[in-house]
Amino acid sequence: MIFKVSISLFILLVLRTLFETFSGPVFELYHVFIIFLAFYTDFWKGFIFSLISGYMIGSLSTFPSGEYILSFSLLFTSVYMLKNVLNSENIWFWILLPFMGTFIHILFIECMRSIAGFGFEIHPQYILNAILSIFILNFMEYIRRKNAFSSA
Amino acid sequence: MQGFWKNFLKISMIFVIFLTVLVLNFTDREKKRFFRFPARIISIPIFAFGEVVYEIKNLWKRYVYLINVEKENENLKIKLLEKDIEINALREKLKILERLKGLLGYRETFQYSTVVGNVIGYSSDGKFKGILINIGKNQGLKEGMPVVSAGGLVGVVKQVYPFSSSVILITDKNLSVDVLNTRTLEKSILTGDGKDGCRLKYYLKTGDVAIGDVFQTARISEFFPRGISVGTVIELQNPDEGLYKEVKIRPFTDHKKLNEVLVIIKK
Repeated sequence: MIFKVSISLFILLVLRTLFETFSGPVFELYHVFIIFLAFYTDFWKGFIFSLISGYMIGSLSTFPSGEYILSFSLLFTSVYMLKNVLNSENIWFWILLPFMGTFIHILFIECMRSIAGFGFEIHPQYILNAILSIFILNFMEYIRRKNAFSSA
Repeated sequence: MQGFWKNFLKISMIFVIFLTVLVLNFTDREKKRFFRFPARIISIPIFAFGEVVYEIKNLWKRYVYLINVEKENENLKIKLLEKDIEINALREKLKILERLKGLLGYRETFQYSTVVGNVIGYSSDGKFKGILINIGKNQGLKEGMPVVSAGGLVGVVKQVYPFSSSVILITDKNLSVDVLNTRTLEKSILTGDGKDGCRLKYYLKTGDVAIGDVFQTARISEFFPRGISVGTVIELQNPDEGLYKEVKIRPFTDHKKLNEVLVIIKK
């Protein structure tokens, strides 16, 4: 799962870097893969991966301030703990988790950037980002289930 | 009880990471060393992909997408004629200026050479306005070098990798440029609005500025050479409160249409 997620993160990074359409706040969807990873991997493996991927992706930021390291690791831990508490069979779980995940991710990132001396900004486009997150996370879950059943 | 210690370990680990990132932010503001290594590694495949995408885009633009080219050609011919007349008038003025310079004993003290680069990518974080160009350390680029295009000022080189560099655009809120009103010669500070435009900071209410005024770099800080066109005033507001006018500037360069850029290498 870690390999698949790292490939997906890299593809998203390349898309966001090479095409202006994807470079805006709507397609800041790295967190969806971290949320997905939290369901299907061990804590320590996923946690270390989220740190490394946050470090790698964050280094390409125009002003790197460690925002992705913090956000990825905190988001991973939060979702890892939540999945054990909440009922993951409930449909609302799969809608609210990516929706809230977007804003938690943005909040962590903006807090870190504020500490580094940049302004705290919440764009209205993050609503679209959150809606897109719901679709992508559910699509990934659908693909995973389909593969799991077909192989079984 | 074991579960408690496991959770305690997890939370303390996150706390340590949080502290580390915080300490990094306060001790090394530029954070160059910490983020340089992975950025260099990731920039290589992105540069390779970027070159391929750039070539494909160029192929499409130059050979396939030829609708309205004839019409555009006619318009350009007319514009060329107009520019010819303008250039001749300017040549006359240049001759006069050279004679005056000779009289005053004025001498150019700074000379600049340039390197041409292509835009191959954009900022991968949603917040900052930046572009990626296909020239880097191997071509002699250094951080802080000004980037211009045919229209005017584009931005400043922010990070340099071996084969590519990231450029922060003048439309970014974190970049400030000292500028000069070409009509009134008043100086001000230009900064990005975070979208596609710019605004002037600290332009006093008593200052003389009008819609259509052109701003160029002023070289107060010696960061940019003097005389690079930056943008034109499109909106003016005089708020009741405060000491300053709100002046919106539209940059001459549209970063969405940028293809080739020039990096000014200071000697």
